[in-house]
Amino acid sequence: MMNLIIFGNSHVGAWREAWPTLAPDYPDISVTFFGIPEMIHRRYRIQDTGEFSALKISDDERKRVVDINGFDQVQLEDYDRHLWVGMNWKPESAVMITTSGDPDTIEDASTGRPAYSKPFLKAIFELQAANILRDSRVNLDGSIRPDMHPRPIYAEECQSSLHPLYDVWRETADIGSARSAILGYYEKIVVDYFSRQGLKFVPSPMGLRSSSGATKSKYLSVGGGIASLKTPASRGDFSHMNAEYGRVCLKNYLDYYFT
Amino acid sequence: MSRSPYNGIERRAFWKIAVEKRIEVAASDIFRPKFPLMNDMRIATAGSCFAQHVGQALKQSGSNVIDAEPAPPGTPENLAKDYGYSTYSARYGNIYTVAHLLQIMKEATGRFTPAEPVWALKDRFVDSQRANVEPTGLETPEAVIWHRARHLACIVKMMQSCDVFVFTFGLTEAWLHTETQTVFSLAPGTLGGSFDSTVHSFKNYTTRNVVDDFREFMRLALTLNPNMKFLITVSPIPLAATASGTHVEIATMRSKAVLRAACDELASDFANVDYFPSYEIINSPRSKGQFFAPNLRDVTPEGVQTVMTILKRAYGFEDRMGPTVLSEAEMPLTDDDMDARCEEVLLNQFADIEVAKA
Repeated sequence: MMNLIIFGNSHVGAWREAWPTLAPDYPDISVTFFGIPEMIHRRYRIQDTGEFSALKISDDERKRVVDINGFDQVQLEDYDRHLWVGMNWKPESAVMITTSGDPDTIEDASTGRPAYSKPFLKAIFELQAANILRDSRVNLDGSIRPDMHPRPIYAEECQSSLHPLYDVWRETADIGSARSAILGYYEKIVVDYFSRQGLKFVPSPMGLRSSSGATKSKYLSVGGGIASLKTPASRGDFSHMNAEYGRVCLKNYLDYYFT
Repeated sequence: MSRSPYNGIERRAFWKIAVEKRIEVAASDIFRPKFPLMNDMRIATAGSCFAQHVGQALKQSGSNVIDAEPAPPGTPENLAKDYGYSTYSARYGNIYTVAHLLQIMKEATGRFTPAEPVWALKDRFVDSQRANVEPTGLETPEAVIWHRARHLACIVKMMQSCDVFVFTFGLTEAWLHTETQTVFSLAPGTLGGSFDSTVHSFKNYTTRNVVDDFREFMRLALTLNPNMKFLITVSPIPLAATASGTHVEIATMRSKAVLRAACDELASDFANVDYFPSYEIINSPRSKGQFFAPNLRDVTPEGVQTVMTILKRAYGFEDRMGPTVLSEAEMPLTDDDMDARCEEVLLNQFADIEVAKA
């Protein structure tokens, strides 16, 4: 029996919800989930002892984590494999590039828009990958080297929100092919960078995305999207995905790494 | 008392008054603009290495300097410059000769196709017309061609929107593809490509060549934008190397004299062309060589600052933006910084090889 733990922030929810439908197909794998609200999750670290725990957490916060999971910390060394879900990988920084130019060789050659070569984009993305790794709180000197799964790319409905958080998605809605291409390249560079550090960055499967690079609408969690049609500038939630999204991601991960 | 044509001439016309008694060149009224540069005017910059400083000074002055091929938002400055961004108004790299400038304009407007557009760089490929903007080269020749087409379209947009085109004349020496007379920015074999004496040849342009080429460049530029003005200057930086067969010092003086004479002719003949005296400010006897670094080639940050202070003062930027303070200026501090974006310096590697052989 292979013991897998999937831990991280609220994005773990979609994976946990999906597991019962997948479990019969993977009788040799036992999966434990540990999902923590992001505001609390930010203070969690993989300690030198192998525990995933927070040094500073209030009683109320601890109770909240226990209510969700049944426990407030976990010994990662008790598991054979570790997947940290929900890492912020700043895909918007890649999308932002398409506001000023295109990756090669998207669109025709004479648009008058600047073009960015793959070596140039690679240089930018490797700097970003280093920042992501630094912010991820992974201890490269520790014994636990978790696989990393990023937070979902926003659902494509975010382009209809007027909230500033989604400005870059709205402004690049008309150049979806460039956006999709640059996101794909960004992902590849991050995967390669993490690999060189001995880590697996596991991107969400391409089938979850629309042609413009955003996550397809059908995977948005129930209740997600604009909070109210009367408040189109509200932040809403275009980030949390449903169990079907979790199922596709989890199946992809299990099939790729365990079979 | 006898009358002389020098009676009544303004004081700055006399060396004794304008130079001998005025040690500070920045305060000597050395440059009076022919036309104004206002903050809302759109300015494009190009030229040899020294042009980078001109562009930077104009940006610092709050001028509306065009960036037709910007790096993505948030790109670290050094990384952007390594890839030819944030240096000139388009990503053409250094343009050392007027012949090359004219050729770029012809190519951008569909009048010319360069020979050897792609050079091999080990197992990668670079644009022979701007070999230094992709330090590691691209994967395929097709990618180089695609990027060049994008670049040329950006140049056309830049020229169409430009009110003043600022160009720094750098060199008279260039390497050509002999049969087609294609000009290269660098000698084949320096940053990609390979020199073949049966295919490539050396050219040292004359004053007539330079004037004719710039006139033709202006004619083409004005077809894109009839109201464009031109501010020209000559780089004070000596040649890194010469292929003319003469001593590099003689070749430098010859080259600068040709360029300076050409600029004088252009500025005299055209109301929409003005000349700014970068070369004179650095090289005049008044400066006593103080603006050159110990290698007697690089211009010191103080020299660059002096030139740019005069530029800003003449156009009234200081009145609009406040005086320039040397210590606050974002200027290169070391020779390495100065040379970093000046690939002509790469010719020194051949000197080092020769020294090693000796």
